[in-house]
Amino acid sequence: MLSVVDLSFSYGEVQALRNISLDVPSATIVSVMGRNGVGKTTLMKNIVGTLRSTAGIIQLDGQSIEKKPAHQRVLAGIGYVPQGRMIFPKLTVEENLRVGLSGSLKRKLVPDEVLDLFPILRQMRDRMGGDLSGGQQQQLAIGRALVTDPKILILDEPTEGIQPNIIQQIGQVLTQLVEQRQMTILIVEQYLDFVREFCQHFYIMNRGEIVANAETEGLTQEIIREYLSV
Amino acid sequence: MTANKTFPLLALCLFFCLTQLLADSAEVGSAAVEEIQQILLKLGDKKSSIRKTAIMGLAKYDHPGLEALMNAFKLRQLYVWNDNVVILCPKIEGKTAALQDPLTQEPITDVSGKQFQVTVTELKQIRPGRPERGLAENVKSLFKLFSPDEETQLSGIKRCGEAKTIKGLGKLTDLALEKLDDLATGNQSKKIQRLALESALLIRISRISLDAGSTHLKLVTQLGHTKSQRSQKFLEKSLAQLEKSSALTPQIQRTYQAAIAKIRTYQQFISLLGNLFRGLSLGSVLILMALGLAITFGLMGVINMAHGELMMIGAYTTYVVQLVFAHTPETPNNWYFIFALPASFLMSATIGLLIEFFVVRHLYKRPLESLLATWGVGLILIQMIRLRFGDNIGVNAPSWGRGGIEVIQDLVFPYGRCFIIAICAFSVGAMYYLMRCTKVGLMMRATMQNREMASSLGVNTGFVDRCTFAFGSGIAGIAGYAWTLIGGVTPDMGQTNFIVDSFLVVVTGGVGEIIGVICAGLGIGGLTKTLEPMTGTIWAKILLLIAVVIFIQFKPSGLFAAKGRLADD
Amino acid sequence: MHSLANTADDQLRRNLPLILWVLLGLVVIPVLYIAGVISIGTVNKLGRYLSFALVAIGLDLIWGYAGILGLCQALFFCLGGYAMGMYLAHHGGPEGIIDKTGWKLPACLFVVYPYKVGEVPGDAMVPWFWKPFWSLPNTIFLGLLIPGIFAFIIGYFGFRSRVRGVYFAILTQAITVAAQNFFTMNNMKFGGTNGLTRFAHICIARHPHGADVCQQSALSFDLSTDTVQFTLYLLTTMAIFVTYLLYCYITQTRLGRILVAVRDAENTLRFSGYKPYVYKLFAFILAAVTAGLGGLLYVPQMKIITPYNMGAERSILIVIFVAVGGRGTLSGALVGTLAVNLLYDFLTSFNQPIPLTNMLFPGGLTFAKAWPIVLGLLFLAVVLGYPNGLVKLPQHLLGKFKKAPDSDQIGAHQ
Repeated sequence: MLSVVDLSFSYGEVQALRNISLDVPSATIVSVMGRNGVGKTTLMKNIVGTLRSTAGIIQLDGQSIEKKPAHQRVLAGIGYVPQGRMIFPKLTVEENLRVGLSGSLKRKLVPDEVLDLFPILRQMRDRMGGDLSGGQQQQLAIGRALVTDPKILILDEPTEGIQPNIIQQIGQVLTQLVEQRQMTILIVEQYLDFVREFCQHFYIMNRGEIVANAETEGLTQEIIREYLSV
Repeated sequence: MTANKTFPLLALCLFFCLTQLLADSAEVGSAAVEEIQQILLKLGDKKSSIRKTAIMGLAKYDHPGLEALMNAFKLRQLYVWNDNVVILCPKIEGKTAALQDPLTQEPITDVSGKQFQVTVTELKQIRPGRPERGLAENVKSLFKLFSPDEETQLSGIKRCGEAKTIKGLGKLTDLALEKLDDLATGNQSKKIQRLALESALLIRISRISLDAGSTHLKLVTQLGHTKSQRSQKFLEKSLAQLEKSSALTPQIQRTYQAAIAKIRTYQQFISLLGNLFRGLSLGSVLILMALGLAITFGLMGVINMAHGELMMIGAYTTYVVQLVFAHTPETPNNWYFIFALPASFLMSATIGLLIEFFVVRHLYKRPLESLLATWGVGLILIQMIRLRFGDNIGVNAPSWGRGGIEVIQDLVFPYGRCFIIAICAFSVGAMYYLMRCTKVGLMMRATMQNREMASSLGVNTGFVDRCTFAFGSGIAGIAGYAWTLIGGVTPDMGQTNFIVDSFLVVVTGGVGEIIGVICAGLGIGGLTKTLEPMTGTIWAKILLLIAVVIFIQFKPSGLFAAKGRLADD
Repeated sequence: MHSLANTADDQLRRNLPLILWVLLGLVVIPVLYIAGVISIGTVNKLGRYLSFALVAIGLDLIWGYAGILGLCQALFFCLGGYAMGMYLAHHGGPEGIIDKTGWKLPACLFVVYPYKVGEVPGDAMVPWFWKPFWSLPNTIFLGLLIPGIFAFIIGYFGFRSRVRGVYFAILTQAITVAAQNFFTMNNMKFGGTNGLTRFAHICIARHPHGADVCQQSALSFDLSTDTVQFTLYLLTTMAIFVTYLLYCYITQTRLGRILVAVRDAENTLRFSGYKPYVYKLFAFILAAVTAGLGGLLYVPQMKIITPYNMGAERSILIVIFVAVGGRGTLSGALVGTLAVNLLYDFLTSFNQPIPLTNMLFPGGLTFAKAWPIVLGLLFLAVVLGYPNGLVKLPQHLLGKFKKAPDSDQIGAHQ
């Protein structure tokens, strides 16, 4: 579904990503891990289009998207749940969800399916986004990305700061999306248990490069010690 | 009399009866009309005293046509025909004259409908002397009281209260008083009642000398109650005269001063209200300007110094539309005003779009650079307009623009300013609707709160920027269009009048917050207009600036600061 | 991003142009003038432009280094200018108008004196605030002090309350517009829209007011003579070089680095224990005093000062001078000022209309009429196209030949 080949990116003179290549097969959940500051979020932003890569190819479902601006990548099928949720604080829950309809040519209303996935959103339709708790905001952020009917959902540290039962719920929703709707998911995650339970494949980054990549079963203690612990 | 002459006389009488039958006024009986005719004959008498008596005699009748008759009398348009009847003849051509009824001014016709003509020799002109003409003038005021037209009535009532007329009415004063009292208490409009009461008081007080003691003083107090400027002038003059004479007692002085004070307080009160209203209309224009600025600054982090010029373009577009429709005060064509509204909006919006596309787009989130670049754009626009249109143009307001609504006594709200307030309210409402209820509005709000996230959800932020900028510019154009109703239009009006003030409104109100901008706009507009009469325009601006600076000390981000990313830089 | 001024490269870059300019200004131009190649008019013009450069250099310090966009520099310039103007007006104009207290009424004030109802011309009095400007030392002192005081007040309220940069720019613009309106009023007794004019000479000797003894004294310098104008030019040139050296010194000290820190990361500076507003205030006051100095030197060369000079347009024009020359380079202020003013000179010397303008504007457009359009385009060009300024141009061109073309910068947000 998603294929990144030799992606590079620099902040001015500082090179943040070096020849990154990764593949996300359809209907799987793939995680990207690494210590703080290795470039995980930068990579996500490059894929989503917020940052423009200096070199490399990004292909979504066979279509090249590395030259497109972010809002067009959404039309191509990218859904993004950023780090920190980025809920629009002064829009209601419903309005937050409806922002996703701006680009989509097909949909006019927030689909019921999204609200079914997260019933709490239906309940809090008219509440201001900024008034929600962390867990509720995370659900809203995911719901918001789903409104655009994406082919691939990209999440950046969705479990950060969230209470355990909501984390479980998120994991289950993601699995459900893959099984029932054949969605592809790429997730940046530091929480190992979550990765072990819900992801099929993982990549590890260090200093702007991919240094390991295997099925989740291959997540050995050595790898963890070398690339993920302090 | 020959048959030739009896016939017209009969026709005349018949005519009078007919007109009387058809007349609306129930008070004018045919008997009255005949009496009037008798008196009219006396107008031509050789003796001056009889003529004067005749004039005064006419005053008893409240026939609506008497005023015109008096006018004709003064202009020597009345003639006695065959020593029998007075007719009106505005023009004499050659040897024959066409006859008109003096009371109704209708042409007198024979049975076949043709206007009656007689030879000049049968007519004897009525020539009033100077004293009679003066008397007629004064009596006219009296007649105006009976007019069915409110404007005429008001003017008559007003004149009755003037010193000149009071002197001239002489013996008719009682009659005048009677009619005025009638009007004051009848079911006329409030304006007539008030003015009639005031004029009656003025007549009464001029007849009573100071010795009448308490009656005089009672009248003074009542004059105080009228709260009008005319009464105030009269009382002040009288008091000044009294102070020069020796007849002033403390009690008299107190009464006068109390009455004058009462009027003065009222006048100050409505002066204040009037200023507040002007402040409201000024504030409306400021709000229109500031809204556009606040939204572009809030959305794109860009300062648009050319905003004032966009307003100026709206005003000049109105001017051009006016030229196209050939509207002048002499040949009004008020349709231009309706077309000028969308024209101004579109013109300014288009130019705003061009500015956004060529200049502002590259300067997103760089307010200081955008300040300079748009200042440059502003310079170019001003000079181009100056070279094309010159420095001064006359923009004529539509013909309804000059009147006003009288809300309470002496307080008039000009239609022009009312319109401006209405336009502002409408625009704010439209903007509110746009932001809250439309898809584009949602996109705008999302982009304002978190640009990056919005674009990751599919919002084309470039498109949103363009729409917003164009819309804000269009609103500035409407501000210019509205401004042509109350102010002068010059190429640099954006700079001299508005840009700095608009920014002060934005700074005070908080960026990107509509409510803040509205409050700040009203506040600054109101303050400016309240200070101006006291301190002059320039000091008012300086004081206002100081007030804003002090306000900023306490609330550096404005009244309702936008929370979020932009607050940091 | 501007690098700090400590590398050897920058040292050389700083010193070489300075030597060149000193040569040009203090040697070449005087030689050309004395030799008769250039006229006194040109020297006078250069002197005036250099006094603008004084204002520009101050602005470069607060804007280029500290990141404060102050739009009231023209006001400070005029405060100094009006000080000198009042001095010159005292000693200028026709004789014989003495008021009741024995002071000679300045001619330009006499023309627009705002008599109150019932006053006759004999009642005109020299206002109290004119009187300190009778003596030259006082005038110079006040001409530098008053802008400084104003800057202190404005800066104190502006910087202490942490008003955002943009708001500060707007507020200073509003202040300068208000001041302009204030000086334009006739009853403020500053000469109204006519300004101060009818100057005659500068007099150094001390003498009592009332009779203008100075005209006979040997220490009186007639403003209309060439030598005086030439001396003024030399004074201005020296002033600007001294100022430039002073500023260079300041920016190389710790103070300079702090100012840059203020521009780039004010919050970090604050959290590190510094009080940014103190440094901003210092820079702002220094820039104001320098602008006042510019005004003091400008007025005897221009021979008139009006409220127009303190408007928002003039302030923004100074910003363009600095932007064209190169922000944050100090020498850029000088280069930019000269470049723009000489361009104006050059273009307006053509009397023929610009070709092809007949189509839009009947009668064609001369450069004089089109100058605001040219200026506006210059604004746009500098901000959009070439923000680094002329001073960096040689370096940039050299760089283009040396390095491979830069790869794309950080992706913009659409």
